[in-house]
Amino acid sequence: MFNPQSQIENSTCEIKYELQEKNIKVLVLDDESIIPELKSVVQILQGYNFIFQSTNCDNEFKKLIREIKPNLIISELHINEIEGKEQLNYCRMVYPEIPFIILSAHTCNKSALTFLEMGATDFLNKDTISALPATIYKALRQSHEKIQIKEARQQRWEDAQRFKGLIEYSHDPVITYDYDGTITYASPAIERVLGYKVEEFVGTNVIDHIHPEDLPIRENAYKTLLNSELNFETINEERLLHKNGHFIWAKAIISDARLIPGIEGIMTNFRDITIAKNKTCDLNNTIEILTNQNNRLLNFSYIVSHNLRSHTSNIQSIINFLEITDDPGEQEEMIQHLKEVSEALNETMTNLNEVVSIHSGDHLKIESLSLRKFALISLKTLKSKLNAINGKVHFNIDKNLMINFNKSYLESILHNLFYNAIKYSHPNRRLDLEIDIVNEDEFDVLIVKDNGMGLDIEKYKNKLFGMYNTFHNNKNAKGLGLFMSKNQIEAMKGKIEVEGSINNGCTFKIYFKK
Amino acid sequence: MKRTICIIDDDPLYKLLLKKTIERLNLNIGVVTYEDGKQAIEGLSKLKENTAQLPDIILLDINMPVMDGWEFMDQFVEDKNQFSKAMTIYIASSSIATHDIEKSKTYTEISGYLVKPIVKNTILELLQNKVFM
Repeated sequence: MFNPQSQIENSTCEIKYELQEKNIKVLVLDDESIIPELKSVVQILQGYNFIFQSTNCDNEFKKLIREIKPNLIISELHINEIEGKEQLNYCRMVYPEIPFIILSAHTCNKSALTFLEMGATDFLNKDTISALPATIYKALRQSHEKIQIKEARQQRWEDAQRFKGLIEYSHDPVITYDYDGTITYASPAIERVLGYKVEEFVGTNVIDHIHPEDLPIRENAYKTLLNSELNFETINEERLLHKNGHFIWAKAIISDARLIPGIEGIMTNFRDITIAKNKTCDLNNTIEILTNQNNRLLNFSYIVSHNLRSHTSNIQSIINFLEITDDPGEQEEMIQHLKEVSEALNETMTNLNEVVSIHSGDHLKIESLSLRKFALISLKTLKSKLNAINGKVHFNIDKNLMINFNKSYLESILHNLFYNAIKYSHPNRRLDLEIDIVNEDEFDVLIVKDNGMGLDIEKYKNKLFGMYNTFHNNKNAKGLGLFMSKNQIEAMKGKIEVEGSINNGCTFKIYFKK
Repeated sequence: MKRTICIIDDDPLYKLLLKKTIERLNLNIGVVTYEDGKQAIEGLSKLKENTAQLPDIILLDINMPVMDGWEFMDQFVEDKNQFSKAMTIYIASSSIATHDIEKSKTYTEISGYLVKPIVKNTILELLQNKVFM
């Protein structure tokens, strides 16, 4: 991870012990007469070029400092100490980084202490002027270090300001929090995205802002993060609670910043992806609708190809016969067949028409219906058939359950389901029909479980709800009931599923949209 | 030598008309019919070593209850070595869907795809092995 803190630390320059500046400008606060002596003393500092300039006048001293920016000031201290003190004060205030060395004509430890207290770099007696080079060297080095530290501090402050600005003005929120989830920092963008003021947000717990269903995603992300080589982990989408109570979709990047000074916790930046997410949802819904429509169209073309054409090919055959036969008996027979085909064709057309009308049925009346009431009525109409096979019904539908559905569709679907259970009951055992309701998210699910002949569901799954598909040698089966039911259920935004196996009965699940 | 045509189809009228068409040829051709793929598999396996009674040609419908044409083919491919006679299988369907025609080509055991109605001349050509994919 990019680490702004360590960047700042690294920018602190390494301090060198050799002076980089080879031209040393020295401003001497005294008359010129001392300069030759100073020059000869500093000769010992080989490799450096000393440039001396001197003044006796206070005003000129200030002017020269400004103009030549000396590396060093040497002040000759005479009996009158006041002058020197003034200049020292001035330099400490305005140019604290320039070393200020006092050269005194007389020994006075008390005044030496006074000057050092005032900020003089060092205090030398003229008798020990031979120590001057070392003192100068030390003073210049300290000065250099001071300047470097000052520059580094400046740099560091600017860097910190820059990184702070980067986060504060970022469009996407950044938050940091402790290991227990307590938020320690939030950037101002939090208000734009989640509606909270920074001071409201800090101190709350991250968990309170995440959709409960998405918490496992978070937990997994933390686990991955803590075990991973990388110190960040992306959560592609999760729901976050807005202050107003609604949820937004966000993409979050969680970073392990427990070892980062100044954070010492988890850092998360996230982006509001609600608009994109909603668009994707719309797109997926559209794709689903189109896929369904396309499947129905394919199914329909298949029906046309197989079922309508089977009748027309029979008609062609009959006409061929009529053309070649002179036998009145055979002609009569063919006419009879033609009538049969015509009726069958008509029935197929009627059925197809019904299918088409199911899906173009925007005008369908949808009512709030008692599922229990309609199921009971349906079972009542099948009572004689049930009694004939000694069937038993275990009925368990809440009388308060209402579903929004088309009445005639519901009647037809329930009749179909129950009638199928009777029709395909097992010849060797009593029919036990269990009817239950289960609540599943956006659906009320009607479960109709029988112990009949069953079916190889895996094998026939795709065909079971197709038109004119029959599976048992039952002469009454037309292969239409489940096809119609499925279409009616889907037209009401529901779905139908089936489970079961040969000899073990079938369980149909009808999903009624709440 | 008497030849036999086997019709596997659930449409009684089609079977009746096709039977009539074949009889009218007066070529001494026997006709056996089965309701669906399952009955055909059962019926044929009973005759598997009876070369004389096994059909020469099979006309197979696709859409049938219980076991459809494709399921019949899958079973037939498994069982074919048990039969003492090589039988020529044609799909005979009212479907003109490309999907069905393409699928029929995936079975090497299927010799051709016939679209109903099956007329006299088609039968004659079948008997002369003149129908190809």
